[in-house]
Amino acid sequence: MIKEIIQGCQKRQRKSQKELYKMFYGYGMSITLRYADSREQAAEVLNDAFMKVFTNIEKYNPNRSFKPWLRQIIVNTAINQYHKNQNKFQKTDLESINQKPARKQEVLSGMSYDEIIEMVQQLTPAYRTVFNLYVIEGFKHKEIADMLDIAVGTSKSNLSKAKKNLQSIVEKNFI
Amino acid sequence: MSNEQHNDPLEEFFKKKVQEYDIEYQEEDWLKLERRLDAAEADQNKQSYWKRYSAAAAVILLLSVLAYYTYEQQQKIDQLNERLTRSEQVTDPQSKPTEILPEGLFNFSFPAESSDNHPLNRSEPNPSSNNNIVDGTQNNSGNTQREEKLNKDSYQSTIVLASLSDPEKFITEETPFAGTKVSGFAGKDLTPRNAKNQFTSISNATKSSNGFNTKNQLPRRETSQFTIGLIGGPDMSTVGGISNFYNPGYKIGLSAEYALTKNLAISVGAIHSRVQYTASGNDYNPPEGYWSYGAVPQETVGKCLLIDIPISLKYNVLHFDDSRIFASGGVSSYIMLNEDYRFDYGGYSSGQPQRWQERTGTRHWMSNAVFSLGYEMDLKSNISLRIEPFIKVPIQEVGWANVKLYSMGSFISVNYNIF
Repeated sequence: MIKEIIQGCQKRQRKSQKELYKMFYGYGMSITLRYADSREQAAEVLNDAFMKVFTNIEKYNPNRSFKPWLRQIIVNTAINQYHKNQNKFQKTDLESINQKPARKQEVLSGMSYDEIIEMVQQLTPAYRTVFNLYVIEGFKHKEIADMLDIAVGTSKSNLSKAKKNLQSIVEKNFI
Repeated sequence: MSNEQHNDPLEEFFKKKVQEYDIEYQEEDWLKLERRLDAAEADQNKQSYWKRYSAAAAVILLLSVLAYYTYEQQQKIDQLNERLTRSEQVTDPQSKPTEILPEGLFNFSFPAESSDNHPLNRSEPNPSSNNNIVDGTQNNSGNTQREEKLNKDSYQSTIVLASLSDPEKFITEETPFAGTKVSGFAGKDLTPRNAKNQFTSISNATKSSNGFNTKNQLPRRETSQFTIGLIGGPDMSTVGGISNFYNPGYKIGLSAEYALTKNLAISVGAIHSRVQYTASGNDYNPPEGYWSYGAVPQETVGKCLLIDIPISLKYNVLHFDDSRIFASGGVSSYIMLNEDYRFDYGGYSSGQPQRWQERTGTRHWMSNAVFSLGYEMDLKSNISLRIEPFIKVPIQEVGWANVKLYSMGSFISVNYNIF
């Protein structure tokens, strides 16, 4: 079925494009939400990624799985967005996070997906991006440094600070 | 991507939790995307229409130019035919001497007629002839009558040859044998050759009158053996095949041309070129091992500065009064001055470098074949303007990334005939 949909997309059929979008909307948003500051921004990044998918669908190799191809496009689009917004970022330090009002007192295991995403979104873009790339996507620090145009040491430092901030958020808000 | 295990409980927790998503589809987000897709499609259609209209306009322009020249040539041919007809009409009724000429001798309409079939070649004298002009080769035939008339025949031959070189003068001139009918004329050693020459001359005159180039019309083409030119123009390049062009680059340089014959010339150039193209992963082949993480970019934008050294043979295909159409073919060698590549990983990024740039200076001899079809117009006796659309197809791969580089464009050059 996916092959037929992709063939339709290659013919620029709007119906097929919508089907593909619907099919991978949740999956795509689950990635972009982790990199974005808000749901609106996540949807915007997702649409940017799908624009790339639809305009470059001829380059997709049908012998390979579609999902990893889409995932990499989405992650790259999120990284591009990170580069674009780099100058706009305002540092959000631990203190500013701590100023957030306390939420439900729950243990880690009882946390919902939305809460997890909300916690990640509270990190600064630099910490959040490194955290996502290293912990969730599984990239090495060298690869992250190349992608984000930062030093390997900065990548390691950002990861460490991201984890420390997350622990702090959990302790402050959920325990 | 790393396969290393993250043993940190926090990392494991987050890794696991982010997989538990349950995100509801929002139609509103699709509508936003659909609007963008519509806009992109409209933009693409606009570009596509523009390209089609441009192509159609170019074809119409070309056809119009060809139609104009065809019409002009036809007019000249008609005028010439009319003049010839008038000339024949004026001379026919008055001059008997025209009758002494072999049938078809001045049949201008068939200059290409073979001399073997021409009446001039008939070696058998016409039995009905009373005053045959005797061919020198027939002198040993034993024909006493002919031998007796040898001296007279020689004189007559001279007159006939004179008539060939100036038929109008001849047919109005009183001659000793005016009024005699000569139907057997077989001067193998002289007449056919001269007749042929005459036909060639007539043919050339006809061509000349038709507007085609002859030695008399454009003497500078005979004398100008060495020409230098200033060349410039756009360059559209691509790799892998003739499609997916990027922004145009340029070419600017000098050329030198040596005429081997009136129509054939050899030329060499040194052209500073900016070549810009996009390449997909399969068409872009940097040294082995460069893609350290295994993935290749979806698209590479290459911007290179190079010296293009074309060597080609040029042949003038068609001549007009003060212009000509030519075709040329040859080979180009590239000396890479600067190579700059930017990589867009789109779907397969994994921490790859974003750019590669270096002043390489590598040389690729005879790396591309060059074909062109051009139009040259004389501006002055020794200056001409050329417009020369060209295509370069790869013979071998060039550059740091070993790409098969295709280029299209049009040289616009001003040329000066030195001597």
